[in-house]
Amino acid sequence: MAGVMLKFLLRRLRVAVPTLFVIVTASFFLVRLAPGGPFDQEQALPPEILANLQRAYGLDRPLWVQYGRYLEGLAHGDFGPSFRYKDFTVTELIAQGFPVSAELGLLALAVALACGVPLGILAALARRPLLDRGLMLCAALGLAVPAFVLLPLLGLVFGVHWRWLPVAGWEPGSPRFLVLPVFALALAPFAYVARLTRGGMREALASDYVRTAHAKGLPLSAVVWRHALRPALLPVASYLPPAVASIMTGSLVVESIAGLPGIGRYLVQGALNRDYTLVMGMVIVYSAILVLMGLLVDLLYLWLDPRIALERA
Amino acid sequence: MNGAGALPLWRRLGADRAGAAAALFLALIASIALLGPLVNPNDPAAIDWHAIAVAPRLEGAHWFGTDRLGRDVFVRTCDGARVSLLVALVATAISVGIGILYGAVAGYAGGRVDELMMRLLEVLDGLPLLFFVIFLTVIFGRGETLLFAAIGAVGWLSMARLVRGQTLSLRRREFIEAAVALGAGPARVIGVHVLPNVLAPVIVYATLTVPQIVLFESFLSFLGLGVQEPAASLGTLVAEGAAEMQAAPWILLAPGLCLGVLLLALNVLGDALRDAFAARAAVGS
Amino acid sequence: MNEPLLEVRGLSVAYGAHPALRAVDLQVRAGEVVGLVGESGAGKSTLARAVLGLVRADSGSVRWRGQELARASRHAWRAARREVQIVFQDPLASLDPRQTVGEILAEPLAVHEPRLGAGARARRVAAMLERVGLPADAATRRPHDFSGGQCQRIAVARAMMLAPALLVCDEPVSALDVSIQGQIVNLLLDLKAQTGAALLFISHNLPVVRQISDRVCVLYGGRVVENAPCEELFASPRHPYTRELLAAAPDPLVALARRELVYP
Repeated sequence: MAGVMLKFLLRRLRVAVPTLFVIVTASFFLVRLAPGGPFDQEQALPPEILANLQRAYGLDRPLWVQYGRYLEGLAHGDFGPSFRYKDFTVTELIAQGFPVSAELGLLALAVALACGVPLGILAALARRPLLDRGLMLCAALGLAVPAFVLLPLLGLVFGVHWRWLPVAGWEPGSPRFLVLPVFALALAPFAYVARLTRGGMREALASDYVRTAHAKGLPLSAVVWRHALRPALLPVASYLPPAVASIMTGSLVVESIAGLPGIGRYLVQGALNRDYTLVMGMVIVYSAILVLMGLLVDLLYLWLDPRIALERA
Repeated sequence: MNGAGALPLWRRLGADRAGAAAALFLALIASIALLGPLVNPNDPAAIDWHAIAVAPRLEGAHWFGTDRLGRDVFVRTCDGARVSLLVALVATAISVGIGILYGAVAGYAGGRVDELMMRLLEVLDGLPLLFFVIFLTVIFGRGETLLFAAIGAVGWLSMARLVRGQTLSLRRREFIEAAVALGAGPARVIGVHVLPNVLAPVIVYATLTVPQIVLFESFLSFLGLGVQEPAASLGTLVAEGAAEMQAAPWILLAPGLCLGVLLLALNVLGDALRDAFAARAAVGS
Repeated sequence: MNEPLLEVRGLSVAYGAHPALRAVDLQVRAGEVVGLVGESGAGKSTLARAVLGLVRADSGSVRWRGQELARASRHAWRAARREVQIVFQDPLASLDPRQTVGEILAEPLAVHEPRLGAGARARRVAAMLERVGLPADAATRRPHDFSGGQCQRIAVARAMMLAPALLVCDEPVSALDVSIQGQIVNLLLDLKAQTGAALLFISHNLPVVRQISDRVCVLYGGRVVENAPCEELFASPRHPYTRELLAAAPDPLVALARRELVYP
């Protein structure tokens, strides 16, 4: 089994590594395709200063040398200098922002799972169709309200009207600033998790072996806990990479609205400022997280249902 | 799947109360977005210096109030909804078109071509395309053309996969072989025999794609990377509203609620259509 | 003897590692009826599909009027396509469910005579419907509205639209009710008599094959084990497999009785 697992992981890595390589290469050359240079400003720079700048950033070298250097830098975790935040390297900016973003994202994911799974199970077990329908309507609503609409609304109610929580801002070590952003970010994945859990649980409860277990006289709670939960969570597990992607994209707007100094805000700022190296670095980091997430989910699948996981490979 | 099958699908949808309600709501939003500016004669770009950020009042000239520049929020929301829907429809059409073509060719060609095309799809699927779109806007500047292209390009992957699967299973059917035996070329076989037979799931899937694209567009516009001033979509209006929410919450509420209801209706309609289709497929087989 | 229309030489086809045809030789002359028999899995359908170019040959040649099809020009290929048509086993599956019968019958014309006007096309479709014994209003209906036997009439009509020189029939009646099988066989024979087309008739129904064939070819395990004039083969089979096959077939008397049933 261990050998099979290793083979499985290696196979997945064979897809993951080229994917990352494609991302790095495509973004590198796309930047070079761009009309205008990174130093184009409202007033044209004097030519000698421009030349100096280009030399300083290595832009006067042939393209493949620049590409080689960039790859070499990446191998050492060096994303190059930021074109706009002149005193920082991209790596420094990422290192600053990453803990905040990670905390926000992981909390949102945790909230989505911790609320969505029980609610989904509850809806699946609900005897009265009204309860099920009501819960699912809430889920549909949750899916329909984007984070960038929800967060300002939450801020309006809890921040402006009741003054319980700060609308925006950040103090290290003070979780109060994270409450509203986390909930705004968690809503859509929560709704999706609830729907998926309900569907998965319904299907698992209808399957033969679960019905047999129930017929043997096991109480419902034991049936759910021991037999139905694992297969019911399979669709949730396969939703995790999109959930992480959704939280990561959501964090772009949420960090911008709430003024959290995470990497999402840097990405948006970088995009608006056309800070190539910064955006490139961010895209690579985000991609790496997503690819890593895919691998983690495969491992989770292996635990939940080895048969399916190996088939998927 | 039979020739008279189109009707039962709509009948079934009509029987689904949530789906029917969603369809009605959508029609309502669309007609308000289209006709609202005719009923309420305020010019969306006109600045009313006597009414800067006034609160909503149904008897007044500005039903939903005005924004910080004195522009009418109702008319601007109608405008934004129209732009959002238009972008979504065009982008959906682009992505559906690309997806159908790619999927049909891959599924029909089969063998090594199919394998190669699917491998490419897998790699593209692994890419965080949203970040790539942001990246593209950084490089090529912001603008509507890029917005359409980017959203359309991101949306086609699942459609291609769906059509490819359908085509693969169709390919083994004898009527396709019969057409090839007749001497029909690949273009004719795909156009006359494959596409009409995959149309129903394609329509259902396209309906499910529209809300995602509405969300995507408003998201990019919210970040300032999508629709640009002076044009407005629901995303840019929400962004404006969010900036003013402490002083004038209605500037946020009108487009925010409009976006929420629009997405809800689109999602419910898509789900209902999918259920109706699944039920019909189950009966048909 | 005149030159064969279709000449298959040393044809081999494999699906992956599994060989379906091994060095098969087969000839069909103009106006001839060749029966192709063998148990299921013997490669009968593969041979039919290879003759039509629906499966790729691994080796060997398929010649149409003396011309090698694998190396034929686009033009020659299309010309051959026009002259060789096929009727499949499952009539409903071989008709596009989204097309009307009129569209189905017009398709061969659309492919091979694209310059034909809509009116002329409709007239040819109507004439063919009459020839195969279907009502004129069938053109506006879809395959699902018809019975299996009627669908097979539609499939035969489609195959005959271009008046082919060779009609390949891949188990054309085995999916149909016994009571209808005879009607379809009679239809095929009528059309053959009218147009002078050759038939490559694939079946495991030996009485029918014996009744209609000039020559019979026995496939076993992807090889042709016997190829002889019909009466000679049925009277004195040479290959042990042919003997086994004939022995397993219904008693000639029963077959005769059945023939009475089949051809009223």
